[in-house]
Amino acid sequence: MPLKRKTHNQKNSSSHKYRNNEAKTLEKKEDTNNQLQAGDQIGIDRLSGLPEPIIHDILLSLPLSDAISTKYLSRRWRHCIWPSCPALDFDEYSCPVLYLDEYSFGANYFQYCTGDDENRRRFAKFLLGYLQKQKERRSINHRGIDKFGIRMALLGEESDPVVDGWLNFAVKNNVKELDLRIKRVLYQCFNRYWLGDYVFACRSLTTLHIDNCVVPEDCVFDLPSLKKLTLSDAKITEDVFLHLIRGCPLVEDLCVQFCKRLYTMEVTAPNLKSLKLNITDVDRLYITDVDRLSVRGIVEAKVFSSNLKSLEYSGDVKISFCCWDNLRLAEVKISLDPPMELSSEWFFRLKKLLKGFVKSKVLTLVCPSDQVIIFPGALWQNLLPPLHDLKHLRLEISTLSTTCSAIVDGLIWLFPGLETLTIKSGSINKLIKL
Amino acid sequence: MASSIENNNEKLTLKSSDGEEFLVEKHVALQSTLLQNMLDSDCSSADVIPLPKIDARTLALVLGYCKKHADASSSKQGELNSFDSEFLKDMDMGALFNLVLAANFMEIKGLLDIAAQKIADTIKDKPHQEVREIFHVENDYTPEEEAAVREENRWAFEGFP
Repeated sequence: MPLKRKTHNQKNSSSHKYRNNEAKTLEKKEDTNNQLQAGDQIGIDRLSGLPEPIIHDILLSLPLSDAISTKYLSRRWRHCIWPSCPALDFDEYSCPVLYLDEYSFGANYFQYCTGDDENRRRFAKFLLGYLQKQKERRSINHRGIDKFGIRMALLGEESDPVVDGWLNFAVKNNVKELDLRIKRVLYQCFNRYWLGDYVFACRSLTTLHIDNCVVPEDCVFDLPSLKKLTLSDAKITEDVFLHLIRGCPLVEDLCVQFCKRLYTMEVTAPNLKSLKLNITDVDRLYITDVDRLSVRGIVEAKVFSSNLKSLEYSGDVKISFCCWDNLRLAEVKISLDPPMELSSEWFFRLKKLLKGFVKSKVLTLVCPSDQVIIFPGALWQNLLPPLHDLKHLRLEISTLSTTCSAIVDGLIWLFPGLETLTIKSGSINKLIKL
Repeated sequence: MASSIENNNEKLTLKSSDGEEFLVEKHVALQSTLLQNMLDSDCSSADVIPLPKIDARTLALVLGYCKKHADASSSKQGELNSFDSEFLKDMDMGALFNLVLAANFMEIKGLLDIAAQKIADTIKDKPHQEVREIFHVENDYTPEEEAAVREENRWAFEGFP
């Protein structure tokens, strides 16, 4: 039997070789006959005839404005295909349904101006009406919603039910990806939008991005499918954060940034692969020094994981960072946010912070100038012992004020085990083997 | 090469709708979830796997894609990306539709994604009349209906000065 097979296969392989050559000539022939071939297909609408999952893939690859425009194509597109579109992403700035003139845009989410009020009211009204239509049409075909996104600023609380309604609808349709950027403007900005409990009990959810909203207390967090979580300037307390993370046992990718009232965070996530923390104070310019201490955000982070591949941190060196991961597989990137005057305290804290990451595969330090990471000779004695474990260090320096060898001298006493040092600054990209 | 042919498990034969046979290395075939499932459930005992929906020209393209992706290591992502963009460049619509259907049937996600993206790119930034022409979508709206569809976008303004 095996012998028979062998001969069979060999025969095939030779016929395949032959076929390849034949295919080439065939293709050439077909290329010259291209016009004829296209001619054969004139009048055949292959686009509308594609299976629904492929059409959905195509709609998902289109910007919303073009996706919505497909309903002009034909009745089928308007009544069957478009209403089953698995992605609904509403952005008050670019939502095309409101702005018939292609040169006009909607309200600016980032900067309030009174002129946008009317656009916002229209947008809210559009969302309300559109939700009704979706509810009527979705029931016909049972495909869920893959992605739901909304980016809008709310003038007051009167539009909350519209947003609630959409979120509820998305959750009921087993949404997989939620992208929620909802804020309030003017004096309302302290009265943030509260996300409903149902968002955190959405078992189909794999990706959740929360910007600016409040994560409610006393809520059951049950997100067994969640892999990617981003909290950006969200209002969340330490306890709620702890419960939220516990409710996402599969989370692989976690990003926490600008959450000013989250002082200590504890992350126990065995599957965590990527962690990004950013506590750079975006509002620094607007807040007096006294307030700064209280709004700065995370001062203590504890991470329990074992598979971390990437860890990024931007912010103050004052953070106390405890990582129960050997980090052997992890590429660590730290963006330093130094004060104007560098004191000896800065270097003590910097060393303390770096100590936590010396076992990582590669450590990258992003710094505004080389002075920030060159430890003054006078401090060496007080900063002992050196950190032997670090092998690969990368420096990304915005302003280079000294030579590469001076940087090596300023660092090698601290990292005597260093094997490679890469210095990147503008067009300079130098790899130094030690 | 000769030694790998001797190993029966390493190769399988696929047959296109127009009867052409293709000998494929197993690791190349595994790019297709359909073939993977067939191999897992031991349907592979058949000498030839027929693919009745895919013609020889399309199958040759599909297998070219699979081979490139099976042979390239994951570290060469950049190379694969440029291969992908070259792969569909200048492809006529007929071939592209055959390819997207084949990728869907054989469950080759990467190929399906780039082919769908290519079709989306053709639709993008074009007025719907032009999209209709390119894809021969029949306009079955009456003029009144078409006006009503346009009007549908305007209803959001009702009640506002």
